[in-house]
Amino acid sequence: MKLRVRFSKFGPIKYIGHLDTMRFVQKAIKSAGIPVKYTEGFSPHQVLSFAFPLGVGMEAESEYFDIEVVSMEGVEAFKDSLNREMCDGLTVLNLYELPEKAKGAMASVSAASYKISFHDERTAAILSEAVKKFKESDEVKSFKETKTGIRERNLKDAVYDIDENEGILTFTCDASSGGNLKPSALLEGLFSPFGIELKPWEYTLTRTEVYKTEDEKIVPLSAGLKAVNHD
Amino acid sequence: MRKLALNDEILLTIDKPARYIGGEKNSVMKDKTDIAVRFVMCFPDLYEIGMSHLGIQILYGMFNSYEDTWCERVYSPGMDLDRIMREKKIPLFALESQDPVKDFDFLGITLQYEMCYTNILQILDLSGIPFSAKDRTWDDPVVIGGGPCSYNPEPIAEFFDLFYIGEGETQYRNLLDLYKEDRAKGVSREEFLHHAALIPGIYVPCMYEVSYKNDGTVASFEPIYEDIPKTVKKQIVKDLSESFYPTRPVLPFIKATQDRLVLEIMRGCIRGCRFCQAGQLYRPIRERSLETLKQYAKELIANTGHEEICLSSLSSSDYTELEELLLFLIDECEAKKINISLPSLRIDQFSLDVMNKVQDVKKSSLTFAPEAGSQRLRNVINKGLTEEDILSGAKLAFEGGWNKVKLYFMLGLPTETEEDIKGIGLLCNEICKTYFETVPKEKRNGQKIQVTASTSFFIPKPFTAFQWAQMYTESDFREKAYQTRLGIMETLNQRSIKYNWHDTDVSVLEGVFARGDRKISGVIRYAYESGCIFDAWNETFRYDLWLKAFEDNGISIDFYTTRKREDDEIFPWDFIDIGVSKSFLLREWHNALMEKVSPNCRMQCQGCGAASYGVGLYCP
Ligand code: SF4
Repeated sequence: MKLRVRFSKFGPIKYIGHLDTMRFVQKAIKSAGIPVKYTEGFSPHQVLSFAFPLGVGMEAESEYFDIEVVSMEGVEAFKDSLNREMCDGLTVLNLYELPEKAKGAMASVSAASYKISFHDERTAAILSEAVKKFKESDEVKSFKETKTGIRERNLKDAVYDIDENEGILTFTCDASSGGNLKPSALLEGLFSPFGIELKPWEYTLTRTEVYKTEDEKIVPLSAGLKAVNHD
Repeated sequence: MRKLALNDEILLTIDKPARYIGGEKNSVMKDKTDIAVRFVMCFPDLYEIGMSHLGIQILYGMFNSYEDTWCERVYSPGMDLDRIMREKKIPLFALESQDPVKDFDFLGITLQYEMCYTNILQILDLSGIPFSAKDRTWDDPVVIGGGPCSYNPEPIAEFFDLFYIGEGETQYRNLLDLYKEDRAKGVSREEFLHHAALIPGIYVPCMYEVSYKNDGTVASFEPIYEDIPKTVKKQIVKDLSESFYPTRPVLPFIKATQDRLVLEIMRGCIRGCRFCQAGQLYRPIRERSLETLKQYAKELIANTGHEEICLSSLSSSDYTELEELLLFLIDECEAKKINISLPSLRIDQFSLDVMNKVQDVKKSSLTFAPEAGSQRLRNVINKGLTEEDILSGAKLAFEGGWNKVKLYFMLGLPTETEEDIKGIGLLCNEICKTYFETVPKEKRNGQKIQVTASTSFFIPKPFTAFQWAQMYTESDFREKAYQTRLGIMETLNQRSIKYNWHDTDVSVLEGVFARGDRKISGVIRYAYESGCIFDAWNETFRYDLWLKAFEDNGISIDFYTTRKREDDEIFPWDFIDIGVSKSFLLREWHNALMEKVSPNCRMQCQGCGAASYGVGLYCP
C-alpha cells in the first residue's frame, strides 16, 4: 500500500540539503510509528522516494514523497503523528492514497512553479519591464555548460507561465528529468539584458507546487488522489 | 521564526551551513526572559565531531531540565566561517538563541583531547572574551572546563575561571545556585570564584599558586587563602541508574561523525591497563541496571527514530549482564529495524553468535587490542590478553566464516625492545597461519585472510602507572614504525598483512600537553596567535609553527616528554584527587618494570584507593 505525502519547508531549515532532509524525514517516520515498509537485509531501509530534490536555500509550499506501508490501520492519524515528530519548519500537509499501479513521485514530475521576491529595489523596479520583455520575445536564449559542451536552450519553451505582481515573480516551468529548468537560469535570461547579475542570496526563492502531466495538462502531484487524513 | 545570526549571503557561501543554524529536533528553546542562568556548552571542534559526544548531551539535557536554566550549544566554526566572522566582526553565537556567547552567564568547554587547545582560544577570540581569566569582568561569561583533559588542567589553567573535576551530574546544581545567589548579592567576580572553589570538585586556578624548583619541576602548589582546599576531589555519580540520562538527544540534521544512539552501560573499568588513563580516571566501576538500560533503549528509539544504536563503556565485555542486554537489543532492534553497532567484545562463541546476527560476516572484521607484540611487554602494561586468547578466538571466528582481523598496538611503551617490536609481525603471522590451518582450501571460496595491524605511539598520561615514564623522541618513533614494518615484511605471510601507523608530530605535542604545567599556556597562546588552529586535523596542523612557538618562548619539549621523572617528583596534577592514590600508581609502575602482572578488580582488589567512594561494584 502506497501513500503520497505532501509537505512544506520554511525558515532556517532551508539550509538543510536534500539528502539530510530525507534522512530526517526517515527518522520522523520511524518515531511517528508509521508502519512503513523496509527493505530486507542487514541494514534495512524504508521504501521511500522524494519527488523532487530541494536545493539548499530554497523554501517550499508543496513538496511530495511516496512511502510504502504494510498497514493502513489508523491512516487518518498519520499526518498528526508525523507532524509531532517533525522539526520547526517542516510540516506535513496531507496524505493521499496512491493506487498500486500509479507512477512513483519522482517519475511523475513534469513541471514546477516558483515564487521569487527580490531584496534590492533596483531589481524589483525593473522586474515588470523584464517580464514584459520576456513575454514579448519569441526567443530568450539560455546557455548551460554540460559535460558534453555548451547546451543552448530557448527559455520560452521551458517556461509555461510567467507573471509579476508587486515585485514578486511567479512562474511555472519544465521540471521533467530531461528538461528541468533551474530558476537561476530563468533569472539570468530575465535580467542579463538589463546588465543585472543576481547572486543566490539577493532573492528569496520558494517552490510553490510540483506537477505531473495528465491528459496533456499539468496538474499538482496530488491531483486525482484521495486524501486519507482527517481535516 | 528564529532569526539567524548569519545572513543568507554567508550561509549560502560556506560549507555545511546546517552546522550553524540550530533548530535540530530535540534542541531546546526557552523564553530567555524567564531564565536566571544562561549556559552555553562548547565542544571546541567542528559541529559533526561535537555532536557525536555523549557527555554534552547529558549535560545539555540535565541543565535544560532545570526550570531556571537554559543551556545552548556552540562548536568551532569551520575555517571558512572563521575567516568571515573575523572580517565582518560577527561575534560567535550559540546555536539555539543565536545570541552572542559573550552575553551568557557560563561558557562550558569540554576538553576531550589535548589537540583542541588552540580551538579554545579560537572560541574565546571570536566571542570577544579575554584569553586570560584574570582579565575578565562580569561582562564576560564564567569560563568553565571539564572532561578528561581537565584532570591535568595546568597547561590551559590561565584560560579558565573554573574547572569541574569529575562527572558533571553531581555538583553543577550547587554551582548554579551559588552563582544566582552571588549575582543577586552583587559580589565581585573574584569573590564568586573564591566561593566556587569551596564547592567539592571545583578547581579555581587563580586561587592556587605554584612554585618551581631550579630544575623546572614543581616545588609547591598551595591555595592562596586558608579556607581553600589543598586538593580537589573528583566527583562521581553514586548510582548510575538514578542519574540523568538524555533519552531525548539532539538530532543533528547533517551526519555526525558518530551517527547513532548511545547507550552508556557503565563507567569505570576493572582492567587496570597501565597505559590507560580512562581506566583510572573513572574508577571505581559502576553499572547501570539492565532494567534501566532497556527502558532507555526504548525511549531513545521512540524519541529519535534513529536507525542505529551502540553501547558505550570502556570494556563492554565486562558488563555483568551483557548477554541479556544484547539479546534484548537484538529483539528490539529487529522489530524496529534498527542496526546495532557492536562495541569491541572479547571473542568467544557468544560474541561471535551476536556478531553473526547483527552484521554481515563477509564485511565485518574481528578486533583485538593486544597493544604490545610480546607477552613480556603485555605483562609490563598489564594487558591481560595472551597470544593463546587471540589465536583461539581467531580460530573460532575463522570457523564461523570471518576472514578479516584488525589488531591494535602501541609503539614506544616503557621497556620496549626490538624483540617486542618483532613480536607484532610474528603475532600477525601466527594469525594467518591459524587461518590456513583452520579453513581448508576448498572452504575458502576464493576469500583470503586479511590482517591489519595499526600502531599508535604511546603517550604517558597523568594518573596512570606510566605517568613516570619517559616518552620517546620523534625519530625514535619513526625508527620503531620502520622496524615494525620490517618485522612484518620478514614474516612468511606478509602479503596478507597490512600495516598502518599514525603521525609522529602530533604525538609529541600531545605528550607535552598531557603532562604539561602552567608554563605551557604561553606557548599555546603564542602558537594560536601565529596561526595554529584545528591541530587535531591533518590539513590544518602546523608542526613547524608549534616548534617555533616552543623555541621562541624558551620552553623545552624534552622537559615534558623524554625527561626521566623520579619517584618522588611532585606532578602538576597532584593536587587533584581522583580516588586512586599516587602510592598505588607508583606501586604499579614498579610492578611494570618488574614485568609483574596485577589481577583485575573482579579477581582481586588491588587497594587502589577508589573504594573510598563506597560505590564500586567490586570494591571491598
Ligand atoms: S578499590 Fe579495589 S576493586 Fe575498587 S577500583 Fe580500586 S582496585 Fe578495583
